[in-house]
Amino acid sequence: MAVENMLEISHLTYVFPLSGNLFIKALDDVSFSVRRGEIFGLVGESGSGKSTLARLIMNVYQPCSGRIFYKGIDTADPRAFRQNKGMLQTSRQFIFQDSGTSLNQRMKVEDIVTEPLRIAGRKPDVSYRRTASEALGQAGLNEWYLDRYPANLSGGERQRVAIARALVMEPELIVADEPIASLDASMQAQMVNLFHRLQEEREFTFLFIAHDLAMVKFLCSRVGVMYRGRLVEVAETKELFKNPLHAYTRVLMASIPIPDPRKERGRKIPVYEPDSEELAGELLEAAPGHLVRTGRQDQ
Amino acid sequence: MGNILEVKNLSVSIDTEEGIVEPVRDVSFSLAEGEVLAIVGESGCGKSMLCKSIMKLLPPSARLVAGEILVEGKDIAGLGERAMEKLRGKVFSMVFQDPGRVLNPTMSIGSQIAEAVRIHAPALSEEAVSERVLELLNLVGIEQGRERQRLYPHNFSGGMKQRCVMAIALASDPRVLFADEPTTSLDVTIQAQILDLLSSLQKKLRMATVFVTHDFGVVARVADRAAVMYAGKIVEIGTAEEIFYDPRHPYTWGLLQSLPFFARGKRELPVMPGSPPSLINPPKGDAFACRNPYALAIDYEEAPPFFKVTDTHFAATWLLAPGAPKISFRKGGGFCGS
Amino acid sequence: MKKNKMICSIGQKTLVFCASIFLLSIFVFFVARLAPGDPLEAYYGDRVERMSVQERMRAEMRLGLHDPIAVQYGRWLENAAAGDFGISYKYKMPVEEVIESRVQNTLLLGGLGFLLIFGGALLLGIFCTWQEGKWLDRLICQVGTITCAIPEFWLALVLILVFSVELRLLPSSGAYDVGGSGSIGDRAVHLVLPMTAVVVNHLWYYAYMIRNKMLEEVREEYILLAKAKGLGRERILLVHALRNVLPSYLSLMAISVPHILGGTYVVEAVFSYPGIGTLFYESARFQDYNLLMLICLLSGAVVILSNLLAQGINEAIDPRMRSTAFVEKNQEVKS
Repeated sequence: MAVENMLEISHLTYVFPLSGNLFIKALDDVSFSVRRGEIFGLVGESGSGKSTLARLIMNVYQPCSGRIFYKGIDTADPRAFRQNKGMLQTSRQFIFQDSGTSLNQRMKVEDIVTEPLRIAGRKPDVSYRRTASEALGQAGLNEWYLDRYPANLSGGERQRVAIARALVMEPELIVADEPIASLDASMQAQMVNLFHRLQEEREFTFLFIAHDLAMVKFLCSRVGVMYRGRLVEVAETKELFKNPLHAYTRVLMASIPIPDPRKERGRKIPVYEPDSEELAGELLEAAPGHLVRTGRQDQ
Repeated sequence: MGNILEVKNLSVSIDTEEGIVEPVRDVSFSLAEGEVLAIVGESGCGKSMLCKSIMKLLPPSARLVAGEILVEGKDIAGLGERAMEKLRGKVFSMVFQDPGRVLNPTMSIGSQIAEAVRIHAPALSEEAVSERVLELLNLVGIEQGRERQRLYPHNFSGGMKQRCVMAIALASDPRVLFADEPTTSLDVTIQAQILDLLSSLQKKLRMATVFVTHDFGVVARVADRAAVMYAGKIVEIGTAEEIFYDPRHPYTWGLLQSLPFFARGKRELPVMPGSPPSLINPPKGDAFACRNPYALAIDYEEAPPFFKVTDTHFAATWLLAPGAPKISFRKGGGFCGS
Repeated sequence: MKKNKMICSIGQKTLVFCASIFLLSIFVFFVARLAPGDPLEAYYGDRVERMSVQERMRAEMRLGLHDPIAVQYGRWLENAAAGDFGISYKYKMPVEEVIESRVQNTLLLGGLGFLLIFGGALLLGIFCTWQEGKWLDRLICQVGTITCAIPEFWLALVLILVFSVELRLLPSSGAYDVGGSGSIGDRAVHLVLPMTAVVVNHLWYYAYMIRNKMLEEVREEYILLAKAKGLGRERILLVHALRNVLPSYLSLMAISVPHILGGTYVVEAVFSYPGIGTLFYESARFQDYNLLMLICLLSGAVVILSNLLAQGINEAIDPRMRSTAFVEKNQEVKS
């Protein structure tokens, strides 16, 4: 296993059972890799399977088939997971979309931030409080917040607490599931800058999940676009924006409204009509590093 | 006078455990027939509260402290609950942010729409009501209405649910529609469809619309005029062109600047420092002063009045007072002082 | 597939039911026999005191009370499986017949009480939601809390003292007058006091639950849309909010059967109302083992059945069962 790939996902499939003999293929044969120290963006609309993918990577769900290699360890294999459990649980961290519900309302910020340390049995250098305050400082909050409860904080502040909680373990991989989706535009920009800065300082690998391309463009070095459980296009961010190949990617790009009334009024926004043949096709390399799912006629 | 809705000096206060919150402070605006006014601002600035206070959909702990709400010249600020019930749905309707939570999960879509039809036309026969329900479903772009009206909200996707909410809102041909962030919880690809539907319906039915959003892209797409709100007050109001191409309030500058769209090719997104103030004890003077890089001494003392820029464009900032330093704004390029 | 699942679930529940009844029978059998007291007293009445030691021995042998408890239990189980639950020591007839003669009285008191409690609680709860925070709501809440806290037996005694002893308006005991067994009017007059005791004690408990659930629903966002349509408060409460409260109320009704059954037993005992409750009390007091066993098992069966029913209702209204939600959106569903 080459070391430069922090995360390598191959042919991952996950099926949600419904009542009776109905089921939904949430993920269908997804393969991609995330390089060490890069910010990889995963984009798709609701129901495209991106959150399921994040949960599979974090071992919340067990995949139906396929492999997930984290630093060369197959975490989808229960035995390999058990053998490396301690390392896997500390070196990978997760940030949820809605920190209003994912942070315990009855715990102080200090306890929320240091809880992972206590669980892992790690003793801080000076004190837990000092470690918490340093982590908060990194996330852009001062000591005043240590004794607050999540309910008293704004959405942006709560998300910063969640970031501090992830940072405190000095993770090598952070998976963030729509961390800015519930925030205002101005707050989103602040968070994107924060992620950028932290990633540069700490050099962790970052899987950033979003439902549109607006912020991904700034933050990520590479982007994967998902549609209905399938990865339809993967490319370097610059390349993707310059030369989007898949029809769905183009629609996704055109859907972002332009903040300029003269250009935006009356601009036709295309609608993506799913092409079953195209979706059933294979992910092929169209240009170096640029993969796209194409129908059979292109082969 | 073509104004269907006129709000004058409206103030609302809510009693909470921590103290009295004033989510709407001294707000005035008018809305002409068939016009779309966008209200923009960060969350917690009172934009959604403003709409709910006009329709009197506020929690019982909220009070209208002062001001007038004129609907076609008649003041409805003092009306009681029974009188308001007659106006809701008929004169004004509302489309909400989260369509998944505003539809009753235990009632079929059809019966929820029929209810809205019947309430303002009790004399209508059963056939006429079901005819109207199908017509409404068709109007909001739901095909196979006859079959789908029997379905429950959980059978629909988010975009379809929002269409149903719109059918309910339009059931009695309202004169004014309040759209409270109707696309925020939807996917971008669905957002465009819902926005276009709203625009076309608004033109077809000649409805005046108040469109609440925090997304300037959405404002650009739908709005004739725009009002920027901060800490419960409107700080700048003008036509969409004036707000986008000639903004005068430093807060509007900050909002436009932090849009990723204008920051092409930069390493860092420009951001506005700080966050909105708490509305429990609003600061003295201009609430924006502490985040304003161009705050003048007077900003900390006295709240600025509206200064007229053009006949349609007003901004509440001391920078427009005679003798204030001239500062011009360039999108995505930061501020240039002189 | 769906049918299979249902059969599976019903089978599982039947198994749980049988196992619970079996465990209950062991428990009651042993506890009853280990408790102090003289079972012969129930059989022979006052004559017991005049019996010699030999006579007592012989009587105990005849009733099978001499063997170790485990052997007695084995014998009971064998007979019970054949449908023979033994005779009552006190009434000298098969226990089924004893219970049969009393069961209708209890069903009348308990069943009618159940309906009154749940109907009344629903109305009272809705009324309080309607008056939320106003003086009437606050008054009802205060009074309700007090009535809820009064023990049943004490309330029953007070009712007897006031209405039968002092005012002589209503009979203090029995289900009908001696001799005149059961004209409807006669029965109704005898029911008033025990019924009042049962209902007053339980009513607020459930009304308060309805009130709180309704208030929770009223704060949901779909109420906002209903309001924005122009609907009046009455319709919003009675149609929109109530619809969302009723399913959980239904399962609450099922789960509360034992609660009200217990209450009925206590009240029956105080009013000497000839129902299962009084019988239960007597059989425990006089060591009438066979009768005690059957009453315990029947009551236990009712309790377990109502719990299973509540579980079933809950499963039926579980939102996860409404999984067709995805069908429209992702057409990836396969069958």
